[in-house]
Amino acid sequence: MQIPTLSSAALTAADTPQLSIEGLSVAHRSAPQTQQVSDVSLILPAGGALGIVGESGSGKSLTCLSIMDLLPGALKQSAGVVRLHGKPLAPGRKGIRGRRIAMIFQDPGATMNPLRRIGPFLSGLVKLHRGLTGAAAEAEAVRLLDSVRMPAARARLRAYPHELSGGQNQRVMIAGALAGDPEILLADEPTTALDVTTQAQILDLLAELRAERGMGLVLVSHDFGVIAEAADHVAVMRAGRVVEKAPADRLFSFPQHPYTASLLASIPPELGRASALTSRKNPPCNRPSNATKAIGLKARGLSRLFEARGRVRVHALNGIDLTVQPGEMLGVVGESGCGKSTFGRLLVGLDKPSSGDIRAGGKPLVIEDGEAFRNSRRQLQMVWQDPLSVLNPRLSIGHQIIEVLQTHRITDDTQSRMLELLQAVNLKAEHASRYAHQLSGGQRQRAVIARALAVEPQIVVFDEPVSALDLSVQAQVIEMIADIRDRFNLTGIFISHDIRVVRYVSDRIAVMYLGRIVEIGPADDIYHAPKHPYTQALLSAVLSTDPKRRKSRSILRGDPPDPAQMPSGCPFHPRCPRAAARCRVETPALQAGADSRFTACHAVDVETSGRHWEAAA
Amino acid sequence: MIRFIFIRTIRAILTALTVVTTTFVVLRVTGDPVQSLLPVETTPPEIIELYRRMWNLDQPLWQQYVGYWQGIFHGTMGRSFVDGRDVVGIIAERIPITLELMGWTFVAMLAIGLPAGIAAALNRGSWIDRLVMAAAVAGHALPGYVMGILMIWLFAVELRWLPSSGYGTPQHLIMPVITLATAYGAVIARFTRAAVLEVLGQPHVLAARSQGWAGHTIMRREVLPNAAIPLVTIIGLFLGGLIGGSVIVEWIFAWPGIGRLLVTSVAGRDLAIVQALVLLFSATMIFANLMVDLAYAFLNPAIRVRG
Repeated sequence: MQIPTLSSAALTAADTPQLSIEGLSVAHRSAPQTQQVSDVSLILPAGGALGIVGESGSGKSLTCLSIMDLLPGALKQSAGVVRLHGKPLAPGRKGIRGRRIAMIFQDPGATMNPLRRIGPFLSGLVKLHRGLTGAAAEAEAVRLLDSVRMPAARARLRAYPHELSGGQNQRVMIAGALAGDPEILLADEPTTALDVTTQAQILDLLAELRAERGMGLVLVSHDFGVIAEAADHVAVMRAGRVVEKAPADRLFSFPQHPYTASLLASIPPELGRASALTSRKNPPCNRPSNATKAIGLKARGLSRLFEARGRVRVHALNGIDLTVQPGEMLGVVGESGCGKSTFGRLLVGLDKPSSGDIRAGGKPLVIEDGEAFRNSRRQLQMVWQDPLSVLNPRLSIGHQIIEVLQTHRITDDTQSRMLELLQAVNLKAEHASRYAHQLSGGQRQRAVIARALAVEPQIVVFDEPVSALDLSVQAQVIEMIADIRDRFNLTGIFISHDIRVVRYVSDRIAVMYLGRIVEIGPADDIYHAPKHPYTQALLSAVLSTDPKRRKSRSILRGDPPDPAQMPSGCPFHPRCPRAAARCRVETPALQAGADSRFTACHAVDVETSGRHWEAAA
Repeated sequence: MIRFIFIRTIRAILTALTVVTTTFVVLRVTGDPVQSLLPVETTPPEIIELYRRMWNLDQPLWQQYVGYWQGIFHGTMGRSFVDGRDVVGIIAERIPITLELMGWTFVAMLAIGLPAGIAAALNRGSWIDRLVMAAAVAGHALPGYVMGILMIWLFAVELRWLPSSGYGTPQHLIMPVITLATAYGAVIARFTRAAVLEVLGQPHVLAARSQGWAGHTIMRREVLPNAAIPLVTIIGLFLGGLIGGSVIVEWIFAWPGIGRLLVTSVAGRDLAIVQALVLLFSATMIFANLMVDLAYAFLNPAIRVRG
């Protein structure tokens, strides 16, 4: 098959591209020879959408910032030129920034001045770029909010950023970017900090705005799904260089560069379960003989009520009944605020339930301080999202593991046990003497897991363990978790916002919404045939890079819910496409369906009616 | 917001109660003041008794405590052990004199510290930054008594430009104000630099630049208001601390304010005055803290709106 090369028609179809980057290099001011970006050339055809994808440190964000001449102070553009319609842009980008090219960023909450209300923020930009003042500027601000589909636009003008959700703040940032009626929008990881359903809303909004305004888009993301969704040309960056650029369809169907191919193969749905299964045939790690067999976990009527400032009552968890079988890995998935992290903290005894109880291996969980508490720590371990904040920065990795072995008097030969543990998580002996800051993100998370395994836990709660990691590293750590789970005979809870990741490591999946489990069942059943409308929406928000698999999505309306404002009846009914009158008044219980699946939804056809699910579990 | 103010005010009152009681206890356990005021061997016992009765020292401790509280509420803090004058009167005539010194010092320390800190942050790593930081370390490290005496030697003794000590004319203010403002201004410069650098690194500043705002607008609208939040905390606490810092400076420059009164009263074991001054100092500190909390809530909408 004939593949056109980069310089050929595909990318340079238009006579003069809307935006072009030629030979861009970015280097440290103090060390010009260490280039962060080297010799990058990219073209945005008029009205096109260029996606720049890469892992952390690939230089994708710096390339994007260079377009606006907004590099951090320590860096400078050492070579290259940025052209708009063929004309080189002057340093400082006066008259360009905000007017001809606008930009939005990753964390919408942090990119807004916390002391400024939405109204002045927008009317200020309208005044700056269009000279409107007073009532005319305010009217324009409302129009901008309307154009980004912000509900109750006029009422939002008096809101501060902290009063809005992440998705709403990103809409406000986009409205601000539109104030100058720019011809190009740069979006640097615009949905990375948002929930998946919100991400889908924002990507749809960007697509609509492009169509309405004929606006060019440069989209920077680490997420191939986002790129596949929004870009028609893609450049893959690695270590400061563009390794491959091609039209989106071709890139995802026929990746040319091995790096692109390996990244695409790391996306969770593509992860072959078979390869993980073979790796699980590794010999079991030689646990000391006192280690017992796997134990189960049982939660009954588990609730956690937070009283914020004595007035607002927040039901973070609302009557969870759950049984995790010995040796089972249960995935817990849901959007921010669904209570999944609170649930994890309760399970390892880091927090006390307001009501209900938890039994581990048939015995009630001890959360009071003392000898029994220390023993229960041996039984239960937790692995968090950010390994850097969990590791002690002043002790070497090996030292930290040995310390745990000594505290719990696991073994006398701490040194060799420590090395075994490092080996179990695929770290080398040389990593023992390293400090946390000397390791990569993936190595740090491995070290955290090795330290958690040191006490020979029977139950491990993984709370978003790979969410902060790069795609390729994410895949490796997930495989490693699947591997140690079998070798150490662990019972596990795997919490994540990403249903693809959860599905890959879990036997069963529990989907949570506003402190309740709305659906639970075997991982593949949930993934392939979700019944609850919320699970269906979560899955439809998963972005696929396969053009054939991309289908019309059912996007959830509205924001992820606020646990402080619990709706009546079914908590999901305000966003549910199938909500009926009954849903507004009556909270559905988890009902058993076929295939040991349980769904809490009035609309779902319940085959085995009336049977409370826990009775069957 | 109202709830926030209420809680903070209650907390301030509780702190004040604790201080008042601790002051009473501490001053009573350090010995009988009459014995240190009067030469015990040569004074007839009836004279000692007379003094003890005059200052209610003959009463049981709990009665003294009740009387002490009544005095605080009636604004009568007893009479000086030394010259028998009303304590409140003595302190009241000194307060404006110290306030004058503090007020000018406050203005001067902000006038030195804020611009220096902002300039250092905006020119991070340059010679301006290094100069400001070196000066800040020196200014903070140099004790007030060394700096004061050096200035007296230079400007009063050698150059004869300024009066060496005393009170009355604007010239008298210059050296004490500079001495105090140097130390506090140095610390403020450091905190300002840190606060401004922190805000400069935040994404909303980058976003404002991408939106096309001019540098001075970003400074005025994004950077300074956000940097002000931690600064107000520090500056407010300094306001309370200034009164303590004035003790040494008032002594060196013979400034007839409260700090000097404290030194003479402690030296003379004038229990009534020391007790009143300790209460005054702590009340100032507690009040300054309360004001900081309220100012913080006012500046930060995340606290103000949620209340």
